[in-house]
Amino acid sequence: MFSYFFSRLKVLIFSLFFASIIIFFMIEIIPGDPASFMLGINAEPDTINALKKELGLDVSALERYYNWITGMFIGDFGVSYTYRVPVSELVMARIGVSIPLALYAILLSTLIAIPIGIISASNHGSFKDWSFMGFTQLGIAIPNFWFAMVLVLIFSIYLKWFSAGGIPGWDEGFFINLKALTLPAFALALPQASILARIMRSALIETLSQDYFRTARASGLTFFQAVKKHAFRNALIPVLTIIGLQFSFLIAGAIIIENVFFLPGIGRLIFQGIVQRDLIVVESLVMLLVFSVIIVNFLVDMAYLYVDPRLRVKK
Amino acid sequence: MSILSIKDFNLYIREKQILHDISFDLNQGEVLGIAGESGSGKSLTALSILNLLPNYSRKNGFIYFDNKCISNFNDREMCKIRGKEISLIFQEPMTALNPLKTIKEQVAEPLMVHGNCSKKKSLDIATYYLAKVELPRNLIANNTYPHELSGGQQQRVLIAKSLVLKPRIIIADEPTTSLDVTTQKGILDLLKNLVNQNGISLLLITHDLAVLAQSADRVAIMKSGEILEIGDLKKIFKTKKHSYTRKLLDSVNYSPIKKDTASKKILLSVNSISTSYYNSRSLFFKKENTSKILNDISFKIYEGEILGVVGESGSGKSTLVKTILGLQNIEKGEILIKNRKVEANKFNDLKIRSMMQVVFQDPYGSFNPRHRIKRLIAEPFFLLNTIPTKKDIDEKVCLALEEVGLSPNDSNKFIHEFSGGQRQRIAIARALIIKPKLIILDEAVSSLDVTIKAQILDLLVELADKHTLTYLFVSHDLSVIQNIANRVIVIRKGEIVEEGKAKHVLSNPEDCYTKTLVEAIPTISKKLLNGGQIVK
Amino acid sequence: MKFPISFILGFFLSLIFLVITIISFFWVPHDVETLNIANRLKEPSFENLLGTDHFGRDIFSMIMIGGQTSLSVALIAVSLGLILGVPLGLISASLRGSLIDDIIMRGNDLIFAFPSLVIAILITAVFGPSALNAIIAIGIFNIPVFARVTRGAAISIWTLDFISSARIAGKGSFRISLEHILPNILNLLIVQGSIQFSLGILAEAGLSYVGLGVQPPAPSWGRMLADSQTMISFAPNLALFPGITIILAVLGLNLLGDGTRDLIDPRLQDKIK
Repeated sequence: MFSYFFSRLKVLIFSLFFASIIIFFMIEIIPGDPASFMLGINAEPDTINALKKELGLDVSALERYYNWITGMFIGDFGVSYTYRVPVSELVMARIGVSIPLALYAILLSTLIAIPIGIISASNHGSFKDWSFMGFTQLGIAIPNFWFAMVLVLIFSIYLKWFSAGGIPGWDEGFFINLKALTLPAFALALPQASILARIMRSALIETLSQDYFRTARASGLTFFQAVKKHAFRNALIPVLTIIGLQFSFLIAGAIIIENVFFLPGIGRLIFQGIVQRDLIVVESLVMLLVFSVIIVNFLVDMAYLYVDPRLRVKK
Repeated sequence: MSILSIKDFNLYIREKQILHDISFDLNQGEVLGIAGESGSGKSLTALSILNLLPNYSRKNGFIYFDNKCISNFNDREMCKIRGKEISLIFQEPMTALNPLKTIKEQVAEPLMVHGNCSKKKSLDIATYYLAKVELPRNLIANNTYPHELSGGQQQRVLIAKSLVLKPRIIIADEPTTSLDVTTQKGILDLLKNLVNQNGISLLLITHDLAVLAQSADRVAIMKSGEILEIGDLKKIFKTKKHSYTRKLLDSVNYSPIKKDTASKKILLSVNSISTSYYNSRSLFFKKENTSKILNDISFKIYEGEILGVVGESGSGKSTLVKTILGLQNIEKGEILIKNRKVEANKFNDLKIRSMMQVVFQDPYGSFNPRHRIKRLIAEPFFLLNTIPTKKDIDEKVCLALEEVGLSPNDSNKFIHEFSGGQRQRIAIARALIIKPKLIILDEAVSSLDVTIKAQILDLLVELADKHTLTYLFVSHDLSVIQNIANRVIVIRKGEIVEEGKAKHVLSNPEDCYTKTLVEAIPTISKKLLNGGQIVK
Repeated sequence: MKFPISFILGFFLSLIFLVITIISFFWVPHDVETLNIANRLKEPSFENLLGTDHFGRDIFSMIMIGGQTSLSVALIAVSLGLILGVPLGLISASLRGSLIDDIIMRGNDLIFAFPSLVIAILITAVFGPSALNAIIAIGIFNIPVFARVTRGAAISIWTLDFISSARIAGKGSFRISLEHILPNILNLLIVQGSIQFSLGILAEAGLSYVGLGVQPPAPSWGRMLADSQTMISFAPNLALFPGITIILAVLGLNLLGDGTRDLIDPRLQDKIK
């Protein structure tokens, strides 16, 4: 059990280390001099030097990398050149939009996907199964930003149930914000739910053909009792894997969806960073996103421990 | 009095008829054996009784249990019978237990489903039955999972699970087929005792007539979905009325006559080799030494002999084959063939490679499904210094095919067009084609049906006599080894425990492990077959 | 042989897109480079099959030409993934358990932590947006996908006896990978390829939509959607048609992939027997 934990922990640390090197290399080494890149070609040498000093870019690459990494450990993400405030402040202000949105979307997609997967698998080959799978094919094929636009068209413009974008802020109350996040979360959840439902279905079909499922049926459990007791948890293992792998797609989707709905989240911040050539912001935010993906996959690995006793090796 | 009665039962799957007019009775407290080769429909007969049939199946006919017709019961009604009145034990204990649940939970499950038993009480009863099936004490803990048990122990758990509700009937579908022979005996004895004690009727389904001979009161012989004959075991075995029954019984006690052509010339010598199991996948790339698989093994093979290697699963016999073939590293010792050293994972020494060929167990995994038979058989030509011309190869392939009893026309077919027995013939042709000194037969007949097995053994002996071949015949099945080998080696946990002339070792074993092994082989006694008289 | 419905549907949808894109290289109904403001925001008619946009350009023609971008970006990106990923997977499988295998697989895991959009963001931040950017971003992300699929399938074949026979017949890892492994996993790669191709089209649309991909004036389905967004309340057609185009193209390729899998999966075939 501990050896499993430590082996996953090693992977986590290695991944974070190499990811940080790649990002640092892309942003601070390839452009040559980030400061002059950020200011453009017409900048005076004095201004460039001043900016270098301000951003801590006047030292060697190795030292800059060291400062960047150690800074991040204590929550110092550097200073935004355009906003003239610490990046951490910008992140704190916006993370209150991005994290609820991601959680909301994961919750929605799981709530939609698991019942569909179970119904399809237990009616394998039936018309019900066939039509559900048709819908999931469609769900995978629909670009989520387009789906978002269609949702806005229907629910905001024609039906006027939801606003077309923006978020009031969490001081205004919980449900009003939840409502504002509903359309974006649905747009994000659709492709996720479709993929999850398909995985859930095929994992369940696989377990339904296992001998232990037959054993359960032979000892007198009804089909649904047997699914509940012997198939569901077993099918959950591949589903967990996919939830982990899909998380990075979810992040990518969230960046786009925040733009469609004008939500002031991390995704919007990244785009503003790109447009304004604010490399420090882009660098730290990309690291943050990659960090979250790696952490989520680590947590999924840990969840296996709970689900699968074969990993809990006794010594 | 019959407790289960099947009348004129037919089964169709996707409109193909699988079972034809099956009728039989199972009496209170008796053991009825159903024997048949693969595809005979014996397992589907068992599943039909519990109505656990695959999708797209259609049936007609009647099944009476306790004088109630259960063949038209719906699923809800059947659930009350399954596990409570009739329970089922499957072939593969490894997969028949849910890997994510403790064994105790699984044994207790039927109680909680049928018996309105509290969880605590169910677990207590489960503990009682786990002790009754003689599961080691330290394993009857609350947090034991199936993967911590051996195959035999898992099967014991399944037997406990089938017993907890004291059913009237137990159906056991090949309950010992995937187990070692010494384990098999224990499981069969246990099952028989428990069934006797509780007055339960047992429907024992197996391909192995010898197993039936030791357990069943009555026996039914099945072939292609039909019951050919059914009746008292002694009578059926004695009269051998049906020609197929005779064929089956002959195959069981089959022994090819092999001339002893062993010479004094040493072909292969294995000199005190040892290997260990490594746990190699680790991020820091450390190799952790966990356990020895082969420990100081030495033996010799003489030209022209058939050396049998016998061992149960985990004995290290397949590792031994791999080391001889140079597919696995050895830590200590050396392997010499014709005084040349076999180097592991170095395949450029064609001289050595061309001296050995192999026939594997699995007729399905032994061939690249994308290549034609011609190309498959010709693969070893790669080993010759001068690769023969295309015409030459074609001729040799045709000759090899004829020699193993296939037609030269088969050379353009693909492997999926052949049955398991035919595939083993093709594997033999491939092994023969470059006339190697040594042919290693790694469980080469173990996955075949008994009648096919006899044919392949015949072929092997015929070829050995004709070409004075040398075989290293590795098997878990003593009854096969004793019939074909001249000399035999018994290995256990990576060590040789006994070595000597096959006849001698198997009739007068000295080592106590060999003794248990020999005693565990299920046999059909001469008395049973002849009914006391000598029948020609 | 009985073809699954998904295969037939997917095959014809994909074929239609391929043919239309090829035609667009030689002929489109209307020129899309000249603007005709007088003709703007027309409803679908016989003259303009899908109507016109806010500059008076024919939407159908733009979709035809946009197909060139989508299909070529996705095709090049998937090929990149195939060319680099498959050999990596084969090497990894032939050296399974070794240091090199470990490094390759850890590298794969690492790339999975960078979704293609994040790679595109990194590249764009430094080099600015372009079509090449989209190709690289999608392509890099495809490498570990193919490497993993290849490795997984190859390892299960390496354990089969016929590989041992080939080794005993004196063949080395390279030759075995080429002669025995690759032909036996080709089906799987084709299936994965078509699915990755569809994901590539989706990703390209997403990147172009947020302005990280193809730049104007080159038409692209994703950018058409981005342009239409502000006008969605009074000209929904502008968003509807390119969106449906993307859905049909992606759906076609996915169905083709799934159908092919059903067609070649031996387990399913056995069930039908």
